[in-house]
Amino acid sequence: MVQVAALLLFTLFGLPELLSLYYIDTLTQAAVYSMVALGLGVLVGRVGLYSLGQAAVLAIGAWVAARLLFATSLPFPVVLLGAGVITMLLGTVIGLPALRMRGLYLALITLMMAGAITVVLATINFPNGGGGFLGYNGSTVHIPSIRRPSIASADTAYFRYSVLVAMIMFGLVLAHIRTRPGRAWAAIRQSEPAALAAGINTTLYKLWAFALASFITGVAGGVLAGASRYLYSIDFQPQDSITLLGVVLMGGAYSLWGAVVAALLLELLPAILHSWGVSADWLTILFGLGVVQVLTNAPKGPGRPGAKGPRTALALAVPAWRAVMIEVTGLTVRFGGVTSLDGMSLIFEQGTCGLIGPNGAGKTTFFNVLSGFVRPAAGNIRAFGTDLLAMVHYRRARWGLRRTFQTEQTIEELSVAENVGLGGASRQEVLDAIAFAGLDCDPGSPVRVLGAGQRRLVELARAVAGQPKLVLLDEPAAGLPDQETAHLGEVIGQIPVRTGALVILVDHDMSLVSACCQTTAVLDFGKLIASGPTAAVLRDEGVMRAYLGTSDGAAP
Amino acid sequence: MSALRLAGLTVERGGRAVVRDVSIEVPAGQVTALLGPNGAGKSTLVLAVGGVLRAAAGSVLLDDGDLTGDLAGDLAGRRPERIRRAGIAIVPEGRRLLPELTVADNLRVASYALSREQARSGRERVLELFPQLASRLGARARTLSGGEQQMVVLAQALIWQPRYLLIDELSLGLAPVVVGRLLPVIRAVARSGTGVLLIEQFAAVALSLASSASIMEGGQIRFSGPASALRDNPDLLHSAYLLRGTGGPLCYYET
Amino acid sequence: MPTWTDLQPFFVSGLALGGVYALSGVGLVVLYRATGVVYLAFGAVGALGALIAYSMIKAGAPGWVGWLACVATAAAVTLGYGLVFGPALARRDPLVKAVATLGLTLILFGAMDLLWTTGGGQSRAITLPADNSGFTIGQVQVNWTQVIGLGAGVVIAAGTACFLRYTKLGTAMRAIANDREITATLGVPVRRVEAAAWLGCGILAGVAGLLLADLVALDATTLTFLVISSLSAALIARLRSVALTFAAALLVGLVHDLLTPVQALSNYRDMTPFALAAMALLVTSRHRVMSAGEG
Repeated sequence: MVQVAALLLFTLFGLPELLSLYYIDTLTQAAVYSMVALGLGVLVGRVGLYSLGQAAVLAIGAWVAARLLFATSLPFPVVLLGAGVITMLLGTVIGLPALRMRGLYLALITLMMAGAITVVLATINFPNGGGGFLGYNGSTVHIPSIRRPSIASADTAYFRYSVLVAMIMFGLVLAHIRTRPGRAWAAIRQSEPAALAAGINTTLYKLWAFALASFITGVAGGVLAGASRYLYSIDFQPQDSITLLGVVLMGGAYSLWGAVVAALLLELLPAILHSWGVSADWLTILFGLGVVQVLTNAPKGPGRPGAKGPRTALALAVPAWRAVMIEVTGLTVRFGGVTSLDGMSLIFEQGTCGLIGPNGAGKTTFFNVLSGFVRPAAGNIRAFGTDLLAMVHYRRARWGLRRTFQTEQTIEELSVAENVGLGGASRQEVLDAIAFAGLDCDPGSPVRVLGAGQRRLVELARAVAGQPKLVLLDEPAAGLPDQETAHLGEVIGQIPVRTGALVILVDHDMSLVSACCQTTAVLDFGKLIASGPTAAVLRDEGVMRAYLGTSDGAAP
Repeated sequence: MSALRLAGLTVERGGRAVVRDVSIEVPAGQVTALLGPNGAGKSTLVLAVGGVLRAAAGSVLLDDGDLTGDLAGDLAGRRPERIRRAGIAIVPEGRRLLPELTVADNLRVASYALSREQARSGRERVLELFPQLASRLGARARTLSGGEQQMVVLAQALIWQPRYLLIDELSLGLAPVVVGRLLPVIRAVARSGTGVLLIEQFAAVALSLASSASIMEGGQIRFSGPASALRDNPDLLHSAYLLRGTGGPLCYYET
Repeated sequence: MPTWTDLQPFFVSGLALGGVYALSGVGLVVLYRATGVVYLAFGAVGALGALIAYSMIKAGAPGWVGWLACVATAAAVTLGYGLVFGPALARRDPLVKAVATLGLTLILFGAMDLLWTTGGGQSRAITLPADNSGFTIGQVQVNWTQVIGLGAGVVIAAGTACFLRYTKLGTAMRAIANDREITATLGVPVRRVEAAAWLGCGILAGVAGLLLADLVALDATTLTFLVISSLSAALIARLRSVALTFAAALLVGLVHDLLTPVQALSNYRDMTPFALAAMALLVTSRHRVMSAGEG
């Protein structure tokens, strides 16, 4: 923090003494583009949305600001705010339908949008003090310059002003990252289905990111208008959006400093080269190489698990026991020509229920129906008197549906407490859940230092935090050694006791199922073939046949 | 005797060893069964042998006494096309054919690297083995029934006359009568000299054809021996499936 | 409102342009289906080829040598990119693969601006001999270049569809689009097939670059971003159907040129590709429920 403050002071007061006006003007432009890069960084680095038209959005912001500055006598900061808000509205409107598309299509649409905006600008031009809605005066004689704030009309003073505005924007983004939206974005970037399952309204948060990026870029446009004093459409080219993406990738889309680096690459380097008489085209080539290099080497997926931690005793609280019930009637799911679930009817009673069956029997499909990822062709599900299928998927988590997935879904960059609290549980509920799962690490420690078994416990804690009603566990012990599996089994068995929730456990590890499930149901070819007390079900001949095949040489 | 030998194969996925130090021998002209519950690592093993996944350790050797040249040597880590050319054909689980292509095109793709003569005779051969496909040549593969799709993927493997054939979950999701029609084909293929490794979670299917069997659980081989040992002692099989982590390999019986 | 007579010449030019967009669009779609890459540098390599042809012709080389150099350059750069970066990015998301080609676009852009600087008063142009001869249909003049433009589009679209459907190589490309992993296990040399797709796409980029340089303008920025028009057609066809790409491309070309005499919209006609693609995508994308949650 101290270093940042020192750097800021040096920038504001030291640099103007040291540098010529040429470089101060360059750095003013850099301040502008640091904000644009910041917005793009949020989209690309934090949420994983590629927008290839941010330079065009900047042009919109500049246009709006110029219009307001000429047409009204509003104070400069108000104009900046106005440019930001109007750009934000436009960005949101453009972004809204695009968010339903796949990432690739979103990127391509924004690329085309950049081209379209460039065309519009070439026709309507930038406002230059003329009249009418567009404010453009076609004659080339006597065009007024765009005004600046009265306290910052000199170039050096405007430089300081720009840096301060940029600082405010960075602060705005920081505020987002450290709170709810930031965590939601991290979850969405990791895996949208898992985020939905945790109760996050992914469309809302993606839109929020778009709105934020557009707002910041709009404000940047206003600052740009004041810096350039005269705006020409020829200065805004479609390839600028691509170059911008290039420097953001090179500077690092994820970190905030990356935006500063990107802006310096974009503005300072060309200025330096220019003063040496070298063409800036070399930089364009460099940025192109940078893009390819960054993308080829970008890692994907979480890192390797770290060292294992010690075991602890369970923290038990006296439960408030509720009789719970889920009633499934005639559930049928079809994918293309395959019937994945065939008229499944079952009642789940209190406690922990196992759900087993051979590969392809329909267990994960059943979970997907419960989560809301798949719509059944027929049937309904009543959970605690509520018609579950009528509820929107991201609301089910708030209602009390929790789920873990076969592959691990902890979010590396967040701490243990943040992971557990992703669905919106209070601080106390988070701490209780962590204690319940037997995690003895510091809740603030990042997840990436934990071992595989502990990460599974973090996921379990997340599923248990708050007031869960129905907890779906999909092969929670997959890949864990026997000791950790046994501990996991103990924790799972305690969930109904501790929270009153109903737990459905899908697994192939029969010792885990026998250890923590009172009742078990068996699926085969999408049909229910057995259900009852676990021990009896596991001994049943029919179940054995389903798993092992009959003796006449074929599957049943 | 010629055989496909997997020696000490270890395959990692997501940082953990899904297949751990596995050694299996698949003799030519015989059917070998590889059994085990879900999550045991069998499918990962097949993909590793086929070159789709990289093995972290171990080797895949073609032990054909009199073969030299680039068909000999360790095949682990080679590219899939190379492994297919060496005579090892894998049929991964899930009936993964090319869904948008017709049956005829599916076969054509499978015979891409063969000479025209070989492709033609290969096609004739598989249509003889699966006469049902002859009437479905123009149909898009994803419209076929499960049994027909299984025939197509088998035909794709057999069009090459492979030395060794690994089939993962042949009977999964298929009705018994359909499976019953496929088994004689497997038997015939083995009799013609191909070494077949049949990977199944439905033990009975595999055991009815196999001469020797291995059980894989938790990434490791827990049992290896004659298939008759498992046929005559179902408890051996049950305990392997239902109780995890009971320690080292189970003892095996001589009949 | 313009009359039919006013519109006629734009109908012809629109079809010609649409034909070239179809040629480019088909190149984009085939490469995407075979490799998963949306080749956004398509326009840039075409521009590079056209500029090289221009320089060679200006230096005295015969026309056909220049044109050959254009196609060869585009093919070589495209193939080179595909061989070097294709395997490295093969398993990545199509989004990443597409953005990587933007890197190539920047590299080419910078190089072109360095070597063929704009300004100096003289604008560049490529003229093909077919420009100067033509015929008349009714009241409209048609030159042979326009015929070539449309004709090339038709031939390439039809030829590619047949190639994909009936030839061994084309079938292998379709197979890779279905399931690259399985296709490899079937014994197909996937890298060689992909290389063929890259080469084919590069050749088409060269041809398109040459024709567009003649029909539109010889300018690096213009030609690079004309890829947006072909991209629009490809997107309308959901990056899948060759026939639909052809039809959509003709539509884009026609609408664009037919707007020229329409006073109110004329200045905005370059927005046509964006408008058409955005509409098509919005209409056809419905709210999908997320499927198969794990990982």
